[in-house]
Formats: sequence, structure tokens, C-alpha cells
Amino acid sequence: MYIQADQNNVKTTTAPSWRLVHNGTTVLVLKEQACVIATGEGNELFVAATEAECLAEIARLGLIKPDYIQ
Amino acid sequence: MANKKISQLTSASALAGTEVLPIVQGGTTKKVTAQAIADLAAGGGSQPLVLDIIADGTVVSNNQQVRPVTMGYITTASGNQSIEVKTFLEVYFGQGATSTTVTLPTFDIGSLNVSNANQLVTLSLPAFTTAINTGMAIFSVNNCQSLTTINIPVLATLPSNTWFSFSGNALSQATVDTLLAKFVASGATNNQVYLDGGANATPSSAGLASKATLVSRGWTISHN
Repeated sequence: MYIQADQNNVKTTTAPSWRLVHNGTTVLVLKEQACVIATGEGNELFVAATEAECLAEIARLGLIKPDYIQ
Repeated sequence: MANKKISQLTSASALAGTEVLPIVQGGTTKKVTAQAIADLAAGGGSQPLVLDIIADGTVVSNNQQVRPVTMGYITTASGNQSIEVKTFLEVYFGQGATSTTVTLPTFDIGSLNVSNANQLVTLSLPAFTTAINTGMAIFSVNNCQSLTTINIPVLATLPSNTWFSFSGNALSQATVDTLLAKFVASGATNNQVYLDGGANATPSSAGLASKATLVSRGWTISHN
């Protein structure tokens, strides 16, 4: 599920989940977190219950996953 | 003085540290100074460790060396811990290194990775002006469960389109706020920063203002 931007154009969540942040081309964040995460214009925040769902979204969009992201 | 209760003794004046007290160690009554007890309370008996960028292989003190290679380790009974300072030097901590304060007084440009240094409370980088990407590290300090303070008074330049991680520490709110403020002041864009996990403090209102500025510059921020 993609998080919609608020009135300040910020996408944020606090719900414990797997988080995928990407810019349409490259994976920026792929991590299971229970903290606050916020990202801004140009980036998308996708949340899911499992890593597999995030990996499926990465595959669907053909995103590049840098080596430093496990 | 025989047969006098402690409560009946005259109160001592301000301690100098040289006063002697009795203790029982291993079943034997021994003496110890007030200073030794104070040192133990302050940091488990360890001493602050000051490391400088000096000649190749120079022994700074017992079990610690500075060497311009690629990786350093702290090794303690709790397992392998590492401090990498890329670009210029290796910081090596041998068996028994238990310093709670590490200072790199002349480290100014380069990348730094500190991880799993469980005893570390304060990391001071008083000359660190510029973080650069050396391939494997930029500026990350992770999983140091006692680390409350990172001193970076002159950090001004950071790369863009990369990431910085400070997960799993016990950073104070002041340190969290300072890191966010330094990131804002750098003008860098489109980075990711992790301040989550462990006992890291939540940002104050000032920290949240910095966060908002960073997000408007394409940063992604994770924090407790």
C-alpha cells in the first residue's frame, strides 16, 4: 500500500511494517521498522506486512536495488 | 576509636581521592582509594581514549594503534566490535580495550564507521569537517548500545544521494537534534538517514523542524 502525501507533501507512517522507499528508479529504503519514517517529494513510500510484498513491488516496477540494501 | 559506631565518627571534609577505605575482595579484606571507587562509577574503570592521526603503526597506548589501512577492530569479552576510519587510517583496539570515550582530534576529512562498540558512551570528532564516500562507508555509527553523544562541532560538508545510519544507539535528544541540524546546514539533498532503534531519543521540536527541511530536500528520515 502506498502512503499518500499530506498537506505538506510528506509521506509518513508510524505503523510497524516493512517499508519500501523509492524514487521510481532506485530503492532508497527497504527495511522492517517500528519507528517514524518520512519522505518527501519525488519519493514514494510503500508499506507492507512482509518483505516479500516489497520485493514484489520492486520487481513490478523494475527498480534498481543498490548493494548496500540487503 | 575502638568500639565506636561509624555513625559516631566525625564527618569527613571534601574528598581528595587519596582517602583509603576497606573492601572485601575475594574473601580478603583490602584497602582501596576513594578515587578508584569514583573511577569505577564514572566508567567501569576505563580511561578516555584519545587517538590521533599519526605515523604508521605508532602505538598510542597499550592495545591501541593507528594504521593507514582499511579496517580496525575493538575486541572485548562481549565479542568483536569495530571502528573503521577509511581514507586515512585504521584505529585498532586490542584485547581489553574498554574506553567509554573515543576522540579523534585531527580526523577532518574521510569516512567513519563505528559499530557494536557496546562500551562507548561518547564519540568526539572535533576536527571532522567533511564526510566523503569511500566506497564502503561514509558516516555511520550503529548498535553502540551505550552511545549517547556524538560531538561533531565543525561538520559542514556531506555528500548527496547516499545514506547515513545511526541506528541502535542510545543517542540523546541533543545529539539527535545536532545531527539533523548539521545535515540541514550541509545543504546535501536526497539522502537517507536512520536514527531509529535502540534507545535513541526522539527529536525535539527543533529537531522536527530540521527533519521537515530535510524531507523537503528529498531526504528520507527514520527516527524513534
